[in-house]
Amino acid sequence: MIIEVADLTKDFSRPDVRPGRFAGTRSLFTRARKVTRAVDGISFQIDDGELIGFLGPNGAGKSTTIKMLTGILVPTSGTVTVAGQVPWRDRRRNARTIGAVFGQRTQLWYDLPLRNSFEIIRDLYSMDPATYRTRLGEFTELLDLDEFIDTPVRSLSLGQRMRGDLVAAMLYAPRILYLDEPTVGLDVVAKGKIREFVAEINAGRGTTVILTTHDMDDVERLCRRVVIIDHGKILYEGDVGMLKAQYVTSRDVVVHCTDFDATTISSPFAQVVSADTFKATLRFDPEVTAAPKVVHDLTSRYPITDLSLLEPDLEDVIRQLYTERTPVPARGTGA
Amino acid sequence: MAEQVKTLSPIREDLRASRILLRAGWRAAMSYRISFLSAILGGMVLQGTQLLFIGVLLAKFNVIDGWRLNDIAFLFGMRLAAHAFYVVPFGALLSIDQAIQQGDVDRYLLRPAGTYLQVITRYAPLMALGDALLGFGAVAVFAPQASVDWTPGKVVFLIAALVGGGLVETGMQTFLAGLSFRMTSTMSLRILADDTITRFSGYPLTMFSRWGFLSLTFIFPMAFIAYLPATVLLGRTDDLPIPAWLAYLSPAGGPVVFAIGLVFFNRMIRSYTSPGS
Amino acid sequence: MPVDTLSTRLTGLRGFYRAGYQSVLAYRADLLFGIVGLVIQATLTVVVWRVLFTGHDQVAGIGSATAVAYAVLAACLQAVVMPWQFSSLPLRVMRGQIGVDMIRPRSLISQNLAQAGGTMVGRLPLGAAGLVTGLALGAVKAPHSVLDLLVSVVSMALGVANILTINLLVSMTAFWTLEIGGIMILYRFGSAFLSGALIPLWFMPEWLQPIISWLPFQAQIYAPLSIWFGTRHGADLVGTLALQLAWVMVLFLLLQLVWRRAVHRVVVLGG
Repeated sequence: MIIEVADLTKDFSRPDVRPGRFAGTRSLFTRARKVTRAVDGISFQIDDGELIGFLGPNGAGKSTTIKMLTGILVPTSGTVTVAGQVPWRDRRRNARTIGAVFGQRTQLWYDLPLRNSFEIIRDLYSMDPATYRTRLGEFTELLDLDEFIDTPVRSLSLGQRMRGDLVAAMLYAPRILYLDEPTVGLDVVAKGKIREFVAEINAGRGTTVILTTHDMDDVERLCRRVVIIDHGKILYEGDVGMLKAQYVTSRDVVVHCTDFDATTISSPFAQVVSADTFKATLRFDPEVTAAPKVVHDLTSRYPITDLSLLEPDLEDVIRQLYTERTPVPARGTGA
Repeated sequence: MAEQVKTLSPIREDLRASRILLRAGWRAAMSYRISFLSAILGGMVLQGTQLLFIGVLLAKFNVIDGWRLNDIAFLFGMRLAAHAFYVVPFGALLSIDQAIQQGDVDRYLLRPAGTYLQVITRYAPLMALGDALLGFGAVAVFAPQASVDWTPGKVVFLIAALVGGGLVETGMQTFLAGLSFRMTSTMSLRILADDTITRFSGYPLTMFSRWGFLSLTFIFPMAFIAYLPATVLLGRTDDLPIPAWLAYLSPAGGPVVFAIGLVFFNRMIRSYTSPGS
Repeated sequence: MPVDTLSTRLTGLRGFYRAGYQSVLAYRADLLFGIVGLVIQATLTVVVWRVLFTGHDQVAGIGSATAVAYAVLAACLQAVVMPWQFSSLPLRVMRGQIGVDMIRPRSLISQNLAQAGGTMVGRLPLGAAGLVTGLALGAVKAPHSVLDLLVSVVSMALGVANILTINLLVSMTAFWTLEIGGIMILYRFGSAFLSGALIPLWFMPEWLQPIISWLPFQAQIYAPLSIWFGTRHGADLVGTLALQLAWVMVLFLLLQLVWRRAVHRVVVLGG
């Protein structure tokens, strides 16, 4: 267990400004404050070496939680333990244990070439020169930094900057890496590079990775386990596969045909959802009927030219989860 | 894969980190070469108008509260030089609101170095070099003309007083900057403090009546910046409504005020609400 | 295509004016501290001038009461019309938002002037607080005659027009260089000194007085206040107003000229 979160809560209080005439003038004299609860008593654990997805809609409390885990914010109540330390209290020791990349903001020195930022980090974390050289060499190769390592950060493209940020966070080999929307706004190639890198530092180097993202491709490719929160509460915690299994109560099969009218198709095991002359979609419950049985039934009775079984889509599952907003009772087994 | 971390004491660690971060700040400042001169000039003008102000007035009025031009000029010079000991090392403190609003403090909290240290090394305050040039120049020019019989002991006292005065100003500004973790913006408050110090700490403060003087000594401790040590050097401690020994100890006020400010600042970090969280 | 009459023009600009006005009120703490600050500084200023005058009946033909009142009124006026952040233009140029401003249906000059005007109105409470302080300390003097009062109000309006125009002119350096910190400081403190906000021209050294009186800055604060205190009569009074008006026109012309070059720069070089 490298990260342990128990009953974690964070409140923010802000001046309460009511709209209306002279709102500005009135606000000079009121001291009313509005308290909002961003994180509401969440608990979870993360094992050493895990790569966990931390998901939730905008404003769900993801960033607030990550910021409490990293020691940026002090919890209102509850406890966080990261590698045996309380992040905000043992801030400096914690800082050497973790790396963090926030997609929206760079941690690099804006006016200096990328290489200088790396050197400052080398010095700040008292790395010995040999380790620094080898590691920078490896990362340079993994992420193709060569072409822009001597460019000032302010002139880098988003994808380049992101790669720079990742290296800066991993140079001193922290045990834990927090990634807050690392692929937001990037093109397909850049996303791919970053995913490859994250997979490598997790699998190859045993770094524990906590990833928040809105990109379900990131999750499908990288995470085995996810924590989903909304309104500051945990909606689901567990295996990605189990989540799909729990949520996907029906699967679709699509059949194409040329020799007969597809609208005439019917099956005792599945229900027709839509049909036109050349194509029909049927839905069945995998708990009741196994997929091969449905396929066999259809192919044996109709001259079908093509058939495809649709994979359950994580995106849909998540969408359903966010709209219903009820916690999933059964929990996955963890990694 | 985890590295052996050399354990250093926080103070030694911060000294090391400040060297690293300062180098980065100056290197970044140098990447905009054109601004160098205009910034230094700006710094000199900012403080220079005050010198001009007092110069023009005393040319017409000769005396203020029994102080002649040469001593007033020396007092102003002391204030300017003390100010330099604040703005040169700590000038970036001015940008605390931006550091908080833009979430740069997130980054500082993620690094193994003191947060305050990272705030004051955010950028190299080029303008401060102008303040320093003017301040040290003013002391060098006006000290020999002041009614002081200079002895090595008095020179040492003067230097201690200037550094202490700088720390008093730093401490006050650090305290106010700590409030930024709670309030949206403290810029106006800090400019108010800075402006009040700039405009009035170079006067014989007893002229603001007994209560005025006492509040400028113990509540808003501006008197420690230049006036109290100046009364010692000029042999005017009899003017003070407080015991003379306090004036003799005034250079020690710097570390005290600074310590209070720093403790408060560090305490307030806990109230930090990172933007966009 | 809507007809662009004067009234629609003004309605269009009201938004910018309001933005300036509300931006002052939005930071309530800033305004409160500004008020507290002015109260403190007005008090200290009154003391400084009174102490300066001990042992003098008149200096340069000016008595203690007038000098003290001038210092208080100048401080109030300065607080309202010379805000530290006098224009959002440099920041908008730096962030590249200026392109958006330029496609709005009002000229950038009127947008900025309206906004700066709004800011000044929002800062009126500051001036009021300073004035009340001055009155409480018995440090404010009313004009000698109603005529002096009326003329000095006209003169203040011209002074404000002068400040708005010069502020915008200086802000426009942002189109040529992004490093304007030093220039801004130079301008802020230079104009504070040369406008008579810190010291009235009466007390300036004799060799400096003619130089300052030929610069545009004295028309901002010194001119209206010298009328207020009745130190100008007849031809001198008319001449002062004429000079103020001339400066506003010259500066406005200059503004158009600089603006045209700035547009050229943005259009050709892409900001």
